[in-house]
Amino acid sequence: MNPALSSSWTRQIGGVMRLELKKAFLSKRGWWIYCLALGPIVLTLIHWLVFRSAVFTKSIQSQRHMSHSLGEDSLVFAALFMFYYLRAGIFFGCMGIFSNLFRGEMLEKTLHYYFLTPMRREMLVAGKYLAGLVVALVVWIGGVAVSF
Amino acid sequence: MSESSATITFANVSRFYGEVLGINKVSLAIPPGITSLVGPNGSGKTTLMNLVTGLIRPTQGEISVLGVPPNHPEKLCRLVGYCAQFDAFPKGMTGYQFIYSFLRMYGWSNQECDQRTQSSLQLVGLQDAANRHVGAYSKGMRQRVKLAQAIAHDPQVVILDEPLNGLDPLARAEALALFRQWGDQGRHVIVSSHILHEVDRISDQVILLSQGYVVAEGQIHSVRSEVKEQPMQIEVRCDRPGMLASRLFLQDHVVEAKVSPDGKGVLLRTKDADGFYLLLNQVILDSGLEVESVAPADDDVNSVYQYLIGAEGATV
Repeated sequence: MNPALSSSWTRQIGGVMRLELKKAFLSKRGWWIYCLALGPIVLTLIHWLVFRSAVFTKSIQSQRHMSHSLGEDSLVFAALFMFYYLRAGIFFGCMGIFSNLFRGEMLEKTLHYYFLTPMRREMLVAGKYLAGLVVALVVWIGGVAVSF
Repeated sequence: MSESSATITFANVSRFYGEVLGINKVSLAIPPGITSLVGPNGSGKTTLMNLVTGLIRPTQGEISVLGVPPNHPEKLCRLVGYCAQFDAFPKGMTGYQFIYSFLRMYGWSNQECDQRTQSSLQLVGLQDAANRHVGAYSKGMRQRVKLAQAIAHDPQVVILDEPLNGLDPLARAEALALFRQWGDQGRHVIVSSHILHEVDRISDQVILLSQGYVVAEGQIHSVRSEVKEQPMQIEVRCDRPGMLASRLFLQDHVVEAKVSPDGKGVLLRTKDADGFYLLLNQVILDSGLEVESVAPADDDVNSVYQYLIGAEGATV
C-alpha cells in the first residue's frame, strides 16, 4: 500500500475519532448511557448505606450473615454483572452509543459535514465504529470497575 | 484545459424523491464566475446544489464537476466547498474547532490545518470569536463560520445555499465582495438567494428554476431579451419628455409611455427595443432633444423572475 495514502487514511480516521469522542463524551444526548453504566454503583452505594445504618441495630448485629465478606460480595457482583451489565446495560448502552453515531448526526443535520470531506465512506464508517468502540469500552469497563 | 474540466455540466439530469420531483431533465454547463440560482421555494435549487456536491445522486443523467463525477468523493470534495442552508453545527465546539476538525479529514498535518483554519476565520472576520462556542454565536456569525468552513480547503467550486440569510447589511456587503473576489479569481461560485437585487449586482449568469425545470439560464441581459412576450421597459431622461412621449405614441410597438413624476423623463414599454432606439435617434436629429440618459428599467433578475416565474414566487 502507498505509505502516503495509508498515512492520509490514518489521519482521516483519527480526525473522525477525535471529533466523535468529543461529541460522545460531552454531548447531552449520551447522558442516559452514563446513568445506565453507573446504575449498579448507585445500587451498591444504597446497599452499603442501608447496611451501614442497619449494623447499629442489635437485631442486625446478631446476624453474622449480614456482614461483609469477599466471597458474598463477589457473588453479588457476578449476579449484577450477568443480569444487569451483560443482558441489559451493555446491550442497550451500545445500541445508544452506536446508533447515535449516525442517527444523532441525522437528527442534528450535521452528517453532511462528513460527506463533504474527501474521505472514502469506508474510512468514515471505520472512524465512527472505532470511536464508538472506545466510548463503549471506557464507559462499560469504567462502570464495571467502579462498581466492583 | 478541456472544456469539461473547466465547467460544471449536467446532462439530462433528473432527480426524484420517490414520486416527488426534485429536478427534471436539466442540462446545463456552468462556467467559472458567479452563477445565481433563482426560483421559488421547492423549485429545485437545493436539489441542484446537493447533486453538484455529491450529497445525493441523480435518478438519471450525468453530472461532471470540472471533469470529476460526483461518485468520487475523494476527488470531488477537494474541489467543492458547500455552505448548506441548515443552521446546524456539531455540539459543543468553538468556531476554530469546528473548522479545524473537518480540515483534519483532508489528511493534512496539524500545522497545515491550523494555518488554513486561521486564514479562513480571518477571511470572514471571525478571528476574535474563534475560541467562542458556535452555539453562542449570533445568526450572522454562524453564517460566516459556515462560509469559513466551506472555503477553508481552498475549493475551486464554492456552493452557497442562501448565504446572505441572517447577515446584517454590512456583513452582507462584505460577503458579496468576497463572492465577487472568488468569482474574479476564476472559481465557480454558485449562489442561491431570494435577495434578487443583490443577486443581480454580483451575478455573471443566472439560472432560473421553477417546479424542477430550468426556465432560463445565461447572462441576465440575454435572458431578458429572450422574453419577447413582455414589452421592454426603458427610461429616457431628457429635457422635453412630453414631446418625446407624443412621438412615441404614434408607434405601433410602443405599448405605454408615461412621463415620470419629476417631469424630467419618460418611462416607456415597447415590444421592439431596436425600433425604439432608431426612433429616438431620429427624434434627436429632428428636434434637437437633449437626452441625459437611456436605460433599460426591467433588465434585471427581479423583472425576469416576475415575467418567467410570476409574482407568487417573488419574496423580495
